[in-house]
Amino acid sequence: MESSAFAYMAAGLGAALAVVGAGLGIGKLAAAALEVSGRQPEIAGGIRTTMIIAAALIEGATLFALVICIILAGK
Amino acid sequence: MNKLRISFLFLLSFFALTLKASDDKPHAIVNTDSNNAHTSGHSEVPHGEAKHESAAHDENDIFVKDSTGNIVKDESGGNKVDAGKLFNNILHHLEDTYELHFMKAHVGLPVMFTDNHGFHAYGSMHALEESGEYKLKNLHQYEEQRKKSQFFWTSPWERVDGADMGFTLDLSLTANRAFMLLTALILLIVVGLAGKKAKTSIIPKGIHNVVESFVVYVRDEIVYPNVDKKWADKYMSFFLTVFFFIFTMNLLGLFPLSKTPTGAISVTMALALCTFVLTQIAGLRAMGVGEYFKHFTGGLLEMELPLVMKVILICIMVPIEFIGLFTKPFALMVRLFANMTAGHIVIGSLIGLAILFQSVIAGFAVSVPFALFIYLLELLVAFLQAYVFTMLSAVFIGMMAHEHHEEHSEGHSEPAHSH
Repeated sequence: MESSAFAYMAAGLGAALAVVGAGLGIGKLAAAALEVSGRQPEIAGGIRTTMIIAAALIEGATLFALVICIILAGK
Repeated sequence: MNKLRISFLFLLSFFALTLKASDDKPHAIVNTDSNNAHTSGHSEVPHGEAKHESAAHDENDIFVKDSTGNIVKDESGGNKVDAGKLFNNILHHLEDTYELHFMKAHVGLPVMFTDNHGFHAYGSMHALEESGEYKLKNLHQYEEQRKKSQFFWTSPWERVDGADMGFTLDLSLTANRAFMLLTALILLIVVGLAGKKAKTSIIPKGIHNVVESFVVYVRDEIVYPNVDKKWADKYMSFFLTVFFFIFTMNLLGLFPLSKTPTGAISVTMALALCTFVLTQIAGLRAMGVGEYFKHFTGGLLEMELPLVMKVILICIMVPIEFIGLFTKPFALMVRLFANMTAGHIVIGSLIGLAILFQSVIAGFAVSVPFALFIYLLELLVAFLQAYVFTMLSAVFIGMMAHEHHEEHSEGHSEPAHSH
């Protein structure tokens, strides 16, 4: 196998793992936010804002991982 | 409603930045380049090979070929499609170009650049080729050079006399920049009209209504909750400009035959750089120079800690806070770029399925409904990403410009656990 084949494989596996992590994270976040909004609908607006910020931060970490994958795939 | 006033100074500064930063990966014009490879092919490389190289980005080059260059047929007698080549073709369509593509028509855009030999401006890539001063690089050679420098722009042209070009600054009006200009023009007209209407009547109607609802949304939902009242109105023009600019660019990218400027990392980099610079300015203005540098210690100076502990913690904290300055806009940059690019790749791949299977049924059963679904999702993402970019900019700027009364508000949160 060529060395570039390993790079492609690593990129694919890395992207998959990163997305699994981000999916779990954002899923948990959304579940908690929905639960709180259901209990206290009057603070739903504030919760939504905080949720989006937290989701964006999780996404940011994921994107760092994906950038590494893109660089690997470009090798 | 003076909130309707959008500062076009900011728009201009975006342009200034993107003109320099844009265009990390342009590609040479396929047609002229293939001619180039054909004519030079006789003297340097065997003709077949040159043809193969020049066809690397040919739109017809998505078929599986055998060693002699003939297209391989599948069982039913059709041409066999290479999925990898098809995917490369989709990626290739997302790159910046020096011409606009409308179906079969290619409209050349002005090429302008400065290098060691002064400023040059040509009407199109074709004019550059005919000028006798510059010529396009051999495609094979160009691709090799681009592979070597992944993060830096590679000039697709070189001097005919072979002289060193030195540092080349590409100022060409590429497709992405053309669409950014178009976005600015649309915003100028739409927001200008809305502002004019807002002056004459208080009751929002038509275009005034549309713009005002977005402006009020950005103001009340994004900026006011995150930035102090004192600073919010001062920086409102920035947030509104960023929001409308990104939103319009994202939407414009969803039109068929158009380009998405936000799908180019250089454009999002320029936008993130604006946020970065404004964050620092906001911090300096709100805190003063001394406090600004003090915030790198993360409030450790005020804490009651043994001196040794303090020094050690500060040694750890300062680099972290310093890197944190740059990771925030970096994440902004990559998020917008990745979201816009990913959506387009998915739509392209779904449409590509019909080409891959070469069947009308697959096209109607899979490609059209799924691509439509993703397209509608993209409409949502276009708004969401503009929202998230503006929101995070507001959060970062609000964090820098809070001036100490953030600490008091933290104690007010109610106990969250009520099981």
